[in-house]
Amino acid sequence: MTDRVTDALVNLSIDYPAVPEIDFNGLQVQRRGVGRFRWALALALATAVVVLGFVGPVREAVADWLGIGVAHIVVVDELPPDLGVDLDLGVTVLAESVDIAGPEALDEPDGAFVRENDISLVWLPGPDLPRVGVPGVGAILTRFDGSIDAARIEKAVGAEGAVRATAVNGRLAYWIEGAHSFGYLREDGAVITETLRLSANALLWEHDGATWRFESGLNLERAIALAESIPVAPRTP
Amino acid sequence: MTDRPIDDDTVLARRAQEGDQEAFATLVRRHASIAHRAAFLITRSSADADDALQDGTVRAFYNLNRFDPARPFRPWFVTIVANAARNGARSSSRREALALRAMTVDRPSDPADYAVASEERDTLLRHLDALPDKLRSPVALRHVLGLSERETAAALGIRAGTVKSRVSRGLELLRQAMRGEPA
Repeated sequence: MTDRVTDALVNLSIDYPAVPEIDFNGLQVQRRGVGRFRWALALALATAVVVLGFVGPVREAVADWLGIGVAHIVVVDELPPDLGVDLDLGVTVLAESVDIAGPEALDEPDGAFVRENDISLVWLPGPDLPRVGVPGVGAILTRFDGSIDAARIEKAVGAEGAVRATAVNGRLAYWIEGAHSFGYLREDGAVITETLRLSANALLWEHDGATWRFESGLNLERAIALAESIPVAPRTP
Repeated sequence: MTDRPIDDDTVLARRAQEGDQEAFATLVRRHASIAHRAAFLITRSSADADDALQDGTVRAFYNLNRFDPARPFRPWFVTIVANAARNGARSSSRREALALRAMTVDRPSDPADYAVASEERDTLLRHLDALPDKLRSPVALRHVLGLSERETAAALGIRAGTVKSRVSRGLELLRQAMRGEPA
């Protein structure tokens, strides 16, 4: 049954804006990475050894180098000053010891952390890296051992956050503005929910079976440029 | 039995799933207008609607493996773009909330009729614009854009029954407003 109002709504001619040109460039067919389970086992084992070494009664003052698979991890005595203390990123290790590198345009990271299978690099604020909420932090790059759970990203973005799809190296990526959390799908099928530690912008993308997250105060274009400059070696040992 | 035309949505969708990007682009361009309009009705911002269309296109491409080509492409694509619009609308940085505007229509022969019709249309749009988001979007998608109840539900991420009740409530508020009654 219709009435005057519904008739009027149906017959309304809204002045819609013109449909924009759609950019189809950069869309590429995705291919899944291989060998990530072996990598995960290797890193998990390495991490376990690091944790044991950290709490053991006898410790070398000098860093104790470990080398398992592709992960080379070092135990250090002290956290870098003002870095990562409030971030709960895991055990601090030497940046040179982990098997991920930062964007080419950035200096060497000021700290590195390992938590379970996840590796994080942290940069201090600088001329090209604005401070982002937590004292002493300019950017964090994290590699999670799992694929992005897109559905959880959508649901976990709060009222003040926003998520949009974009592309890094021609693959699906997500750009998240504002505080939020997201989930990622581990190799064993478990969904791990992560909470961002900064109320910063985050770029999320997948490569070689892992999820990468770059948190900073930079804009989308700059974040993508940095993400695409990260040298990524194959993860298969 | 006749073969389906080569530009049939189903055929294009299957080709897109096999990696034919031109087929995907053809499909998207075919349904871009209604998806963009849905995004505009949700966000009331042309810039946000533009972003949602681009964003939804990227999402659709990377989720083609989840699309069932036996089902119509349009509702699937509109839903994805609408989801992007709803997410984009949360970033209030440029939420200027453009008021919906009616297109200029040809004047009828009687200027008095035109004045009445135009005034009523503008009043209706103003009241539609003033509805709460959760009522305005279902009413606009269902009755202004002409989506089905199921399409509206999918686009807004709510159940069909909820669409029905919100549309009903929204229409009632519009009727009251048009009669000059307080909500």
